[in-house]
Parts: sequence; C-alpha cells; structure tokens
Amino acid sequence: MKTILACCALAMLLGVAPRPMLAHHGSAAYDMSKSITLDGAVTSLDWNNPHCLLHFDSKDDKGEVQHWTIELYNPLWMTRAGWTRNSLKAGDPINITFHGTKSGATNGYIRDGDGKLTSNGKELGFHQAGDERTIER
Amino acid sequence: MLRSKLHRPHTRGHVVGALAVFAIALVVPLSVRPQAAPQQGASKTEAAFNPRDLSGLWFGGVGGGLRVQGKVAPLTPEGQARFNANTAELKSDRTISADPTFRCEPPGLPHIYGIGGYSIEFLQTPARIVIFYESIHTFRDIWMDGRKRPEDADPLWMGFSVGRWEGNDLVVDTTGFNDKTWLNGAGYPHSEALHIIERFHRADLNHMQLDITLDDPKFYTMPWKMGVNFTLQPTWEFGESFCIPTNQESFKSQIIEQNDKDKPVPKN
Repeated sequence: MKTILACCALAMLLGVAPRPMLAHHGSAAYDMSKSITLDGAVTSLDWNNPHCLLHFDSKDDKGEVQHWTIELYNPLWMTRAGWTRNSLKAGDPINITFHGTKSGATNGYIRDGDGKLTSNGKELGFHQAGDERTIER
Repeated sequence: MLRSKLHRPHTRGHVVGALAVFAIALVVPLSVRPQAAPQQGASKTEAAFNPRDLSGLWFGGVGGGLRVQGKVAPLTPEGQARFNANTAELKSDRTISADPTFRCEPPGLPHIYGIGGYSIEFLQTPARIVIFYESIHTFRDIWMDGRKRPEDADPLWMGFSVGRWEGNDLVVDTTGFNDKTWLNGAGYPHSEALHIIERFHRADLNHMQLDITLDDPKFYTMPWKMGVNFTLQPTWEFGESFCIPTNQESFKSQIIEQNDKDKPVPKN
C-alpha cells in the first residue's frame, strides 16, 4: 500500500497522474465515486459525435431552474442500446441518475452500469445488445 | 491425453505448453487441428470456425479498450520534452484537449484503438487484409504478399503494414509513421522511428486478444506494450461515424471548457 502511495506521489510530482483511459477525453473531470439523481424536463437531445448530449432543466433545492448537459455515448452506441434520435424530445419528463462534475459545473456523465434514465415510466438503457460487459471498465 | 493438451487455452505463462502445441501444430494436419475439430459441448458454429478468418465486427469496449500493459517505458529526454508539451493541461488538472484527434486529425496507431466505443471490422483477401475502424470511418491495409516498404517512402499517419500468420496469430509489422500522432489519449508521443508489432490472437470464436509492442528508440529507452480485448459482435453492422470539427468544437465548449472553467490555462 505504501509502495502504491509512493508511486502515485512520484507520478504526480512528475506530472504523470495515473488516470484511467475511459472515454475519448477521459472521465477525470467527473466525480465517479458518487451519483446525482434529478427530476427534470428535456430541452433537447443532440445526436452527434463524439458524444450525444442530453440537455434538461431541473429545479434545485431553492426552486430555481438549473440547466444541465449530460454526456451520453456516441450515436452508434446509443443505437445499439436501443435508442433513436427521437427517443427523447423537448418537454419529456425524466428522472436521471448520473455522475456530476468535480468543478460544480452543471454537466454530467452517464454510463452503462450505474447510470439510470426513465421517462414517462419507461427506462432508456445504455447497454449495447451483444456487449458482454456489465459496466464500462 | 493428446486432446487435453490440444485444448488447453493459450496463456502467456504456459510457454512450455505453447511450445508443445506449436510442435504438435507442425506435425498435425490442418484438418485435425483443435480449432477445426468438433468439441464436445461446443455449438456447431464454434466447432466450425476458422481461426484465420477474422471477418466480422469486433468490439474493444468503452474508450475503444486500448490499455497500457505493464508500465510505460521510460522516455528519453527528447521524448519527455514532447510528452510534457502534450500534457501541459494536466498540471492544472484540466482534461487533456491538446490531443490532435480532438481536431479530427487521424489518430494513427495504436491510438485508433482508443477512440470512443466503436467497433473494428476485418476484410481479408489473399494478398491484403483490410481493417476498418468505425470510430473515424477509416481503414488501413495490411499487405500479406511479402512486399516491402518502398525506400524513401513518405511517412504516413497510419504507417506501412505487412502481415504474416504465426500459427493462427496474425502478426502485423508497421513502420513508416509520421510523428504527428499520439500513441494514446494520455499524451504519449512517438517519433518517426516508431516500429509497432501487433499480434491478433483469437482465443476462441468470440474473443480476440490484440497485443501491441511499441518500439521507438528515439523517444523511449525500451519497448513497451499496450493491448485490447475484443469480443465478436455478430449482430452489429458497421455504422457511419465521422469526426466532424464543428461537433468537436461544440463538445469542447459545452463540456470540457465548462468542466474546467475555474482552472488556470497552462502556457506552453
């Protein structure tokens, strides 16, 4: 354990922070240790590379509307997980569980495994048909 | 006894076993080799598959699945300087956005295996194997006809690749790279001296291990390795996915810059 800590400290000193290579740009900006769950209303679904983006509004504790942007997977992945670009439309109510940012920016990252998204009682999943993995790693 | 040896899965630790299998493979006719022989309990499809036929779509996982195996080799001073420039954003804990693939430049090798969650597909002819990469809708040729890289050939984004079969492993030797790409999204650089050996080992019908050896004596003090574990995806079709600069910019401004908005911008 001490060795691992020493390695990490040394790596950080050298500027070679050990970080997992997950998505295209990594998930380093997100707090992967905890999740946020919100109710909201979709404003748009951007169906583009490198990641589809889900935009929605949600009221915070003070009743003020916050605008959120969530990274989904790329359009081919989404298609293989059963989505179409019309799966969610402006105004659709959603309940969503995702990872928030470390910086506090109202962005998020949803992933196959621990992310969850339902709209009008229907779950919209992120697991591709045929993918043996149960969670990204 | 012979059967049980033949059916032992190939692992790195079993050098003796592997040698034994290799020796047997030399003397046993192709028709009775284990991969062609029907196996008890195996499905008809699995029993019939040809290990030298890699056709189909293969999925490496989220982020493409590219991983460093073991440790990154120590960099030479020249390599270290390039690495430091590539990863300057990490000093202020920012997401690395200097990756040339963010600007839709070709990823090169092996970085192309580390782009998004897309598939690759093999198309084989006797003289040439083509690998299609869904991530940026591109391909590369692997020449199987014994040709050599022409002298004084221009450096290439994807290099010049020749392949051969070693047993049932496809071994691909690639040189002739330009130095404009990164080895992966973590900012590891390479020079034009980069020499890559890829070994595609199909462990069974549905699984293929890619071991990648990176040798760049100008930027690294020793060879090092990366790898990808692929699974066959018989129900998928190769999709259209291009890198669109305006989409990349939009993503960067909405996601990366917002996530890192309070962090200092590094000076190169």
